[in-house]
Amino acid sequence: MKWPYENAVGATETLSCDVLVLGGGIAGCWAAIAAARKGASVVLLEKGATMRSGSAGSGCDHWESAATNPGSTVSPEELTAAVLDDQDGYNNGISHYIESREGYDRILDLERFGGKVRDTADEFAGARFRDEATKFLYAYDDRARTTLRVWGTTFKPALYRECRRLGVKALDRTAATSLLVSEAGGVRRGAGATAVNARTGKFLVCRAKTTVLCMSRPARIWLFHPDLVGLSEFRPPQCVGNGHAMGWRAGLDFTMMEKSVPAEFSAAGRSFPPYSTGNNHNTWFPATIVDADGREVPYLDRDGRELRTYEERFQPAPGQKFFLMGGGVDAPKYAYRGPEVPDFGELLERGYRPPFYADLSRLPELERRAIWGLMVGQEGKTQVPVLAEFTGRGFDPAKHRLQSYGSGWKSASFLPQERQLFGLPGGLLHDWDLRTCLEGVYAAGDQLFASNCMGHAAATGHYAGRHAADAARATDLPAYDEAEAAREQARVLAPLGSDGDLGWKELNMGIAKAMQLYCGDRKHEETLRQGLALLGEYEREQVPQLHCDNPHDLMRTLETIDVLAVSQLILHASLARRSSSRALCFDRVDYPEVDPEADRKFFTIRREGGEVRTGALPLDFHGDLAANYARHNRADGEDAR
Amino acid sequence: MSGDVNRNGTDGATNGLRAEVVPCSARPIRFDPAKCNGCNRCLEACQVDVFLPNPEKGSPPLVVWPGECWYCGSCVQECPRPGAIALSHPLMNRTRFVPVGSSDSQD
Ligand SMILES: Cc1cc2nc3c(=O)[nH]c(=O)nc-3n(C[C@H](O)[C@H](O)[C@H](O)COP(=O)(O)OP(=O)(O)OC[C@H]3O[C@@H](n4cnc5c(N)ncnc54)[C@H](O)[C@@H]3O)c2cc1C
Ligand code: SF4
Ligand code: SF4
Repeated sequence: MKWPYENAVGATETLSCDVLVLGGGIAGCWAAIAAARKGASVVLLEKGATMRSGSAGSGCDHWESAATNPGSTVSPEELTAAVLDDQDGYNNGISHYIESREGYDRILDLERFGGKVRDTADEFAGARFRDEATKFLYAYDDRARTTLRVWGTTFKPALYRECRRLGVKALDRTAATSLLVSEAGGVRRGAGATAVNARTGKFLVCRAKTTVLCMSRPARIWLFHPDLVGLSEFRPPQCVGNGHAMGWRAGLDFTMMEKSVPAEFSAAGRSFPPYSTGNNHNTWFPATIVDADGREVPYLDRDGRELRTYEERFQPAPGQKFFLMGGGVDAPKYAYRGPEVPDFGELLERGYRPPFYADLSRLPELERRAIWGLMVGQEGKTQVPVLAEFTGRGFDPAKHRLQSYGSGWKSASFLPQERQLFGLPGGLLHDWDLRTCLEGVYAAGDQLFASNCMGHAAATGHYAGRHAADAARATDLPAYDEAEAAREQARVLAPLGSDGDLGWKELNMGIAKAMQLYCGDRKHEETLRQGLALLGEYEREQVPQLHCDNPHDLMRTLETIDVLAVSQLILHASLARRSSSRALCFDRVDYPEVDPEADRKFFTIRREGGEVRTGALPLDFHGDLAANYARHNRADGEDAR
Repeated sequence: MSGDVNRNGTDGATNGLRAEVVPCSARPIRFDPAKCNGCNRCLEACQVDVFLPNPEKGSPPLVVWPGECWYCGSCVQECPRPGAIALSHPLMNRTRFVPVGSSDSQD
């Protein structure tokens, strides 16, 4: 069929602004809003449609680590110290402190923008998890009260409206492809970015004084399904780590890129769609779990003590101040472990009969309505495909129980070599301004190392946006290398005009198989090097053969080229760590020693003039959290509000 | 902000853009043409861009890349005409539920 959109392949548009934001998800929208509030002219480039783009486009139900909300009994310092310790230090102290410290300010922002964050309609009046004065609804630990239950389906449209109200120039269907770098006077600094329109093929050169990277994290590295591409991974299929690939090419520093975890979600065969199965995690906490005969499975505290009442599922154990639960917490250490049911293997040994189910009929009515109706409903990907769909099929949470397909919140078992960047993976290294190692280039949200969750994306987005705006005020528009931009245009458009006949799916399949083979659960110098050799061959011999017929497929093709770059980055990072590590889920067969003291540090990695350079930073390079925060922000806190 | 468009570089060789529906084992999206007025709001809301506008004005968008669907439901959320568009999981992804009183051992 004829292409229905304008054909602007070969045309170039040039724009300039003070602050350029790449990626219009949660972090990108807030970065744009914060910069615009400071008076900067802002351009936002979003590959999809800002109104509903990103992981939280269709919704989200938990706002975590809002340690300064009025109900919280945990300080930002305590909470950040706990999440750092839970990961043996392999976590992002700077960004999680910003999240804990400013997340609540962003909740109040959202309310001003027209998002819904409290139970204003009194649907849950009198519920155990509701604060009657503020009408906030809480989740998980009832004493800590750092996590709020929220109406996330309202968030992205509200953020988009606010961006437009503030005059942010949001360009949808525009995929950023590379960072512009200026080298004037021997100083390298960011000068904006290039992009391509995913409908028209028009090439864009966007010059900027400062740039904020908010393009989330890599995917489709080990997991790729050519038929059900969109279900290959947990996050939206267009989020494959373009920002990482761009940063890698521009010489930015990364850390923790050797970390990957056994796959947790891929509904293209193994898993079920998230939140659509019976479980007792996240959205479904604290559902009652029963076995095939309807026999109830007990919740246990961290010492194995059986909890008798529903109320106890929200209480820390005796002697424990608070427990950790939520997106960045998978298997918490004893110190932070909350109420949990035994895993299914253990239950079978104890005589329970499979399959297991979540049975909400046994919960108090307000809790049942909170899980099925509020959480399932407001959580991403649930309002239409779970709540409405299951209700249409006759599901009634008071009358039916929903089958469980795996322990914890996973609904599948994977092969050991099937891995994923899930939870708290590696990403861009940054300082206390959320600036990368390249002057003028900032980052936020899931693009940062060891980052996860919406409150984190919101808080770091706002923080990076305002620091980028401050820096933009102090600079002129940097020059950029026009020849470099022209080379990038040729690279980007090549698959549309190429004589080759390789499709992007075939290449992505090849990469995924290579990564499973050479960078699976057990890593070895020899196989990692073989992986690099094979991917190098793909880069030299196969990439030039890529061909596509329209700008949409061009976007997928460019994504796959970036998947290749990120895979190379992961292989290099895996070679750099010559020991194994528990917290990094990193098993080097040739270096089996686990977490030797000498290697208890962040290894950093970047590309410089075609060479890979590695370095190291102490795990506590973030320094004193409160003192450094104070040093990098206004004393009156006005900027954060 | 300032901007300008330079069309001088337009390359005649790449002008023949085209697309075909990419076959997929699943059918995520179904339209009810009696209810849909072809306003394309679903299409504009989709971050994955799985649709193309129907060349016939007033008709539902075409699902050109069904395999790329993320099953998020945003298209349905933004549709102003209830029932005009429906999303459903592939068969293998439809979770099972049973009445609470039942026992699998008596099935
Ligand atoms: C189904 C689901 C449910 C979740 N529920 C919760 C929850 O309840 N609570 C919680 O705390 N967290 C939740 N999360 C996680 C949370 O949504 C994310 O951590 C958070 O949204 C990340 O924000 P971000 O801005 O970094 O990335 P995103 O919001 O994912 O945005 C990234 C954006 O970058 C764009 N982009 C990518 N590449 C390019 C490019 N080359 N050029 C231009 N744009 C580009 C993408 O289109 C996308 O819009 C959930 C995630 C999922 C997938
Ligand atoms: S399905 Fe709904 S949103 Fe889409 S074109 Fe039809 S009426 Fe408009
Ligand atoms: S469900 Fe989401 S990804 Fe699929 S067509 Fe609708 S908006 Fe697009």
